[in-house]
Amino acid sequence: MGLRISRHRDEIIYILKKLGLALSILVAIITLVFVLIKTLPGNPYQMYYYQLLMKGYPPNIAKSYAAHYAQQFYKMMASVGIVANESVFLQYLGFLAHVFTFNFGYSFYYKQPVSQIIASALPWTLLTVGIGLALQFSIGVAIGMVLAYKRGTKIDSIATLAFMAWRAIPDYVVGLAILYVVLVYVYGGNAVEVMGVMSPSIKELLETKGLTLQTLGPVLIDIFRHAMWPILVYTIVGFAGWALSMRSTAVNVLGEDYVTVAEARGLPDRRIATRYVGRNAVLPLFTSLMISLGYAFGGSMFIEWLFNYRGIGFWMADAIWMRDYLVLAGCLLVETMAVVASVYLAEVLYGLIDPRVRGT
Amino acid sequence: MKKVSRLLLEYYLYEYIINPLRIVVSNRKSCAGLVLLLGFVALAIYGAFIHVDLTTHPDRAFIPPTIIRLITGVKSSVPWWKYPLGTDWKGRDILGMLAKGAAPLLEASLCAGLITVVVGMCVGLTAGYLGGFADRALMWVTDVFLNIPSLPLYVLIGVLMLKAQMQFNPFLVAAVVSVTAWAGIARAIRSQVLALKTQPFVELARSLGMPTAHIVFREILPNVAGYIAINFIFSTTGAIYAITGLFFLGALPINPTQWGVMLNDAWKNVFIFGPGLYYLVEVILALALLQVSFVLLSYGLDEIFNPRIRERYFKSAAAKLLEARKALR
Repeated sequence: MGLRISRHRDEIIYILKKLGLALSILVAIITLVFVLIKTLPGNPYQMYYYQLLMKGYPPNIAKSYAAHYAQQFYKMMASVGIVANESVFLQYLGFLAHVFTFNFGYSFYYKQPVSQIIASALPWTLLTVGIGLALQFSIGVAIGMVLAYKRGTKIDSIATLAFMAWRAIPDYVVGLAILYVVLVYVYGGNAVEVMGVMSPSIKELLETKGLTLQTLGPVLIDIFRHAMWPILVYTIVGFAGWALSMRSTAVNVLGEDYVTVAEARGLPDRRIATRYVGRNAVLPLFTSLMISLGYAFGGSMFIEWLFNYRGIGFWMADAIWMRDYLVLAGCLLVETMAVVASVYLAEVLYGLIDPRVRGT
Repeated sequence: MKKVSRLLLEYYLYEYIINPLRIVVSNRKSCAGLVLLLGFVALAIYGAFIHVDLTTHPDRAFIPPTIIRLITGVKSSVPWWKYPLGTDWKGRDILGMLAKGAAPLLEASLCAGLITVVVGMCVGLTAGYLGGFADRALMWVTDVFLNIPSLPLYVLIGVLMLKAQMQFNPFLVAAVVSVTAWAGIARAIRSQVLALKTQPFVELARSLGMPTAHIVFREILPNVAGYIAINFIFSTTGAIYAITGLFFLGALPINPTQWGVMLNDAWKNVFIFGPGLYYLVEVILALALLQVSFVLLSYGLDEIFNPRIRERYFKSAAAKLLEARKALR
């Protein structure tokens, strides 16, 4: 046993070191969110009271409104561990403890715990964003490989220019265009067929009969038919960036000696392209794939809101109008946890595959 | 002495304004980008001089743009030069609103691009050049900001600002949307500096006992200048995306002439009332063209910092500098 541990000592130390780093990053981000929440007015009663006075409310009514508001405010803050009249340090510890137990407080607008909202929304976002990212990555990488082999040609320069321009087009604009075309020309304005996570009829079926073998088929098909459009938007929006990154890494790999040697050995071109060039060029992209999860979460706010798709992004966009910052903070923290965890996984895997990375 | 100052002035003029412009113009793509961008700047300037009536006028709502009016031949009492891009559901002039919104958007996004690049450059240069503990500490901070989903964070900050009753201020918005953006640039510049540090010319400068400021700003910085310039452009397009997105979602104080608010308005119009598709298309086109103009311009920036292409254009400027130096002696 001792021998086995010592044989993998490097790997284990690397994994633990990266774990410590990931945890410290997470704590730093939670601290940042805590500081942001603490910028809210320290005395909500006075702030709201004067606001109401300025709006022309009579003082006695303003007083009672403000008192009610302040009471709600303190309750809300206490629900994330920020208890009024405590020292800032204790408030911070309370906040940390709440967040690490996935308790993101209580939403007074939606009248339920924030963690419940997130738990009901997270699967939908992970489904669409996950498939969307996987599709845009694989399509982009395939196109990037082709471009790298065609480097210097007319097609390459035109495609590079087009992709660079395409990458700068905002995703909400693309989402809007697709939503309009699909809604008007494919479904003839029947919004429930395009928007939402499933059609009302299927939802009713699911609620009355439950998930049985008979209902499983139609439910899955309906879920797919609705998830298809956000996934399509993510794929179309994101593939160009990956194609450009893959093109540049693949062009670098094509200049390496081992590719020349493989060619000299007379290996079939297909084998060289997949085993020698493709693998080595894709490897560095995986960490950025995980970081791009954060960007995808940002995009999901627009796309899910447009498509009325009840994922995390939808609730964030909705909470903006309600000024419900505990929902916003909770969603942000969950998304951050997802990004940190996946970046950690990618780095550990990368380090295990490629020992050179471990040194730095 | 007068001659020297004139020569130096000419040198700076050529070095920093005329020659870069000539390079940009000589490249078809970046020339197109520059023309487009100047068009948007003209739009913004036009916006500063006009008054846009933002009150509701149901009698002139949904006037289609001039092109559609001319093509379909609809007889209307509105002359062709009025409302060239049509009016929205409240009867407001769309071109005027686009023009009013262009200036704050350009200001905020260019400012955000600048903040992003400067912070990223400072962090990257310091971390890469100093190494050791400073490097590890700075890279840890960079990692923290790389791991935050940026737009959700901006949304949270925006909503907290709204809660604090803050007014719209382009520079404040610029600061908000560059909170996390600098991290990627810092990381990339650090790795470039690490590679440059072992190059012979840097080692030579160090062994000659050159001051650190000289090595960092005169030896290393010019080699990453092209990268920084390109990233300035991309940070700016990223900021345009973020700012318009935040307005679109309502996470910044609503102002009817902001492009993001207009996009939201146009979208709701089309989906709820039906007419006014041209409004949506116009806002989308304006946004897309602005983004593409920056991307096209970036093609030329790459060449300004490319020594081979520079040489062709900068010989005359260098000669002026030499002449000035001779005159000084």
